[in-house]
Amino acid sequence: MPKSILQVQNIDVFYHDFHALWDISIEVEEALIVSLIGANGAGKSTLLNTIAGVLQPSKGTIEFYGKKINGLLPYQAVEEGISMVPEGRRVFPRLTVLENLEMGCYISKARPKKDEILQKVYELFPILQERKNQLSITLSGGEQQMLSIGRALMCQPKLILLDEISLGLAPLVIKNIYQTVRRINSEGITALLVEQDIQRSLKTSHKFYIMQSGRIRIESKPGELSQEEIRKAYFGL
Amino acid sequence: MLSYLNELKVPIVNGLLLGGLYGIIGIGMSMIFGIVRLVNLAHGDLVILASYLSLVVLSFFPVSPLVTLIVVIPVMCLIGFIVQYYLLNQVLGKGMNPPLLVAFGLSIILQNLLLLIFTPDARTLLTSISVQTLPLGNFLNIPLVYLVDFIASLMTIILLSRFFNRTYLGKAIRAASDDEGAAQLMGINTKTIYAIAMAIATGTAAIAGVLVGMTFTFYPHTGPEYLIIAFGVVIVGGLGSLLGTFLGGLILGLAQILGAHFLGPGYQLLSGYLILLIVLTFKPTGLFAKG
Repeated sequence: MPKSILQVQNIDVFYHDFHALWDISIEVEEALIVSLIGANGAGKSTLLNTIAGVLQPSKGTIEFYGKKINGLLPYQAVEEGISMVPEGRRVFPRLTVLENLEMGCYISKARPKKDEILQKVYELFPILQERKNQLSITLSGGEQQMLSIGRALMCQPKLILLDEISLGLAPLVIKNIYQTVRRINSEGITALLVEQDIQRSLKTSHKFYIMQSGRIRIESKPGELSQEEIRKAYFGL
Repeated sequence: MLSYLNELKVPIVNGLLLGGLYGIIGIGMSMIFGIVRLVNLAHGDLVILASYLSLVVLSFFPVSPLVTLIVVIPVMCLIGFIVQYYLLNQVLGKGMNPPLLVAFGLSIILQNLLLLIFTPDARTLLTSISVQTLPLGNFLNIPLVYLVDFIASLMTIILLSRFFNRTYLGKAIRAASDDEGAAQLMGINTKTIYAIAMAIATGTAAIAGVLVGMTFTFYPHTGPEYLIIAFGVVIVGGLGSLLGTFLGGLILGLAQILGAHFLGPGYQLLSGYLILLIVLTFKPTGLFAKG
């Protein structure tokens, strides 16, 4: 097993009064794709948002490359090398495609290599180069998703958090995007992925966690569990 | 017919020139409304604060008021940054009312502070420009100060629009205005970005204040008059476009001067507000709104 780079230890997270995550612990190893599987409201996105610094755990710690990162704000987590593709893509609608990508390498240590990374992103998603001067609001859903992923790569992250990147997209586009995720991963970028489609997750990831009602139910690797066992954990039976 | 048009030349030119001044009065308000989603009720008072700051500098160095901008702009930018970072940022995201009340409180404090320090006397930034006219053709004399207002305003807007489109910081400000949460995920500290945006907005208020002070007399309580003008410019021009704000200023200026020309001087303000009402009725997002 490669070395573990992210350790989430016994965290509790609240949305105001609502107890969203209960005593969650996960580990992500270097250069793997790890996925979080679960039904709507299981707490997958909440967990990603907590790692990215959008939410703060009320208990427990998060360590990244040996450094405690809970308590950091999102813009500080980016400096540590954690980049997020948020749910719903969240591209900047009134900025052009190129400007969106430029915002991806806003942090000062990412900027010197901007042109080099930009070329890489254009290689991954040639359509973005074609449309670089278009306002991003004029892109299709799939193109916006590519832009959102490309933008998250611009800061040369060590870990990329992918939140529901297949949401609302056509099957062919989803396939294309997941191929790219594997390609990004093969270049050494660790990925933590949230996905509702179990089959897609199992096919893509090296390791997965099943979440249900704000708790981790199962940690496993694709092929280890039967469909029936996964289904039971998914629905909390 | 020809003589009729000739007669209109004067009010049209004057209206456009006055509108240029209105544009720069409104631009800072429009920026903050668009970027921070804050209705800065203290904008007019910040403009007048800049007029007084220029007055103070002039009392030490008898130069042209335009030269005092070297001091007034940085001081106003600093004030704007501090006000946003330490005051307004604390109440953002807590609903509509708290930021509005803080801005309103700031407005009252500024007015009374100015009253305390400078007494309620009428002031003006004395300059030889104020009394000179520029002959244009045989019968058209343009007051030089209005021309200076217009050019300064246009230059500011061109510079700002370059800043927002070409610099990293400018793009980051636009990104934060589009989606604050996503901007933070890009490593952008949006609180600082808001403070910088406010610093730039009060910087434009500094320019507006010096121009206003050269053009009109001012008192500690003049701020709200310019707040109303800024509101008008934002409503007519719409959000999201600097050029739109400038054009909004021109339309408001034209409406006022043409109203005064046709209906009599007493109707100058009223005809401006009529245009506001018409725009609000038929295109509430403003004439030049984007997105």
